[in-house]
Amino acid sequence: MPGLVLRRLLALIPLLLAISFLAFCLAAASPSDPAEVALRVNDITPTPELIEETRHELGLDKPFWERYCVWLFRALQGDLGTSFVTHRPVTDEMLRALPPTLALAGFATLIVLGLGIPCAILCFASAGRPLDIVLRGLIFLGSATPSFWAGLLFIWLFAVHLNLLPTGGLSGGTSFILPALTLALPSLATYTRLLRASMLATAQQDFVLYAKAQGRSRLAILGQIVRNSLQSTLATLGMTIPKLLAGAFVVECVFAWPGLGRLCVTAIFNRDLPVIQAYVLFMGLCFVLFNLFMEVVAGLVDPRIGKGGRAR
Amino acid sequence: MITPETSHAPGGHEERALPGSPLLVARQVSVRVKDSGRVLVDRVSLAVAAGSCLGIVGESGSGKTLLCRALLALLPRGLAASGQVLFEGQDVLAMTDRERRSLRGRDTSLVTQQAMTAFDPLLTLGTQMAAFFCDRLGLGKRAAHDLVRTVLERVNLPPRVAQCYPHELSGGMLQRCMTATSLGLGSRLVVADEPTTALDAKSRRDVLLALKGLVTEQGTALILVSHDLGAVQTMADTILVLQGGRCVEYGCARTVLNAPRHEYTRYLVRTRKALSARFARFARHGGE
Repeated sequence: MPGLVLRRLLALIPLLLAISFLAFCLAAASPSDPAEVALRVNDITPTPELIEETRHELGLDKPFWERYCVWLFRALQGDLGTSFVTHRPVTDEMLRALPPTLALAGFATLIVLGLGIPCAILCFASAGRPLDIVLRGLIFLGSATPSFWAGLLFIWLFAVHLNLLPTGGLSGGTSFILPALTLALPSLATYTRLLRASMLATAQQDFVLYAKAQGRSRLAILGQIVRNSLQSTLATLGMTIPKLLAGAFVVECVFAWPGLGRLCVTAIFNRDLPVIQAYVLFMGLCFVLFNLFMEVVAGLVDPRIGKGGRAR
Repeated sequence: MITPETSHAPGGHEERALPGSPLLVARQVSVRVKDSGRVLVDRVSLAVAAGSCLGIVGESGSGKTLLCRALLALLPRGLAASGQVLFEGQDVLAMTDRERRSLRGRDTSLVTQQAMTAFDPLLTLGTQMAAFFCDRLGLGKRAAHDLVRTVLERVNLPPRVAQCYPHELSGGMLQRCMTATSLGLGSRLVVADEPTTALDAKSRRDVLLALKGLVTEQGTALILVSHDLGAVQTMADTILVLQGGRCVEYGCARTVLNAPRHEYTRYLVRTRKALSARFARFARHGGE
């Protein structure tokens, strides 16, 4: 297994380079001059002299490839530049905003798994019956509701009308509930539907028929079906977690959550290119690394993929 | 009872007592599609006694597998069985799910056609077989694993097989693992659905020997489904021939194979002989 991980990590290097290049290209592809933007966001009227001076200061007067190599070299050392707005290192800004987003995404993942798996099992066990139809209807509603709308409805019901939970901000454990629920809702619906479909397909497999024919209990057979279906949905889960991280910006804005998404939205409005670049790079890394992580988990769970079978 | 000697026409079996009392008697068993009412297996009757083997033959699509699944009340969704399947006088088709489950494993078991997919791909063979033994025989974990080793040895498989995952074994070995499971459970009736399909000659022989062991050593009643007349000839005491879901001939193996009465059976026997002759010629002349 360590060999497999190492091989995969090595194979990721070109992909990571491509992500870093695209993130860097954002500044180059921007219609406005970064030096002018850097001056304007600080309420300084850009004169040709000032623009030239800022260009020199930001290293924008150097050739594109040289700038990219310098940026990449610094990024590898954890230096992602300085924010145009706050004049603080982007890495510090990211590190400050990262824990609330990670906590929110973690909580949302727990909701997706904690509610999605039992819901899928209930739908599977009652396939075609009224409970399945009702649950699938709710799931459909969940996947069709935009996050910002669901968030506003939750605030209206639980915070304003019932006065049970805070409307927004990060203030104690209860403030996690509404944003995490809003963030989890679309993924919960998708994952439940996927797992239900996977369980129905697994139930038709020969090993289930064989287990039934040998008289295994319904619970034991259900366990086999769930285990095999979860294994086949691991790849989707691997994509869901970074999506929860990346998709948090809408929820963070609705709930005034001091996380990465809000930092990025603020940076977009301010055209704070170093922060936007860092956000894009970070999200790309998250997708790639979670995919790798899920591949490793799949290899551990499924002996046909990896060499990490339980009995060996 | 349904006697092979007298049965010929589909569904019109005269009943007479067999020398050995039959363990399983099926009367007028039909399988139809629930929605359309289309009949897939039409009023088939048969009987099998302990320590004997009934061979069910017919070409692909003749309803062999469906008939077996109806006998075990394991039909896929959308299909319904009618008639009577009496296991020691109790109608399996009229039982509740719980009653059927109590019958499975110890009384009836299955050796499926698809050996490569018959076991859970995420667990080792030993874990799965031991789980069957714990579940159905009420054994502790250690005793169940001991039994796994014993039964694997009885079907000529090394103990290391217990530590292997299904994808690490050949089809023949997996077929023998299924036979070993039935052996360990002490199943009184085993339905083997085309157990030798897609196996090489040696594996085919090993699987048939393992199944033969069940019948001779344990007194198990065996229903062997196959379109391989050679395999059925080796194993079966009685033969039932299916064509298009209907029983066209049912009788003692020797009579059915040596003096077939129905044209379809004669066609099957002729084809088998022609194939054997061609293979013999091929073997003699090295394919020239």
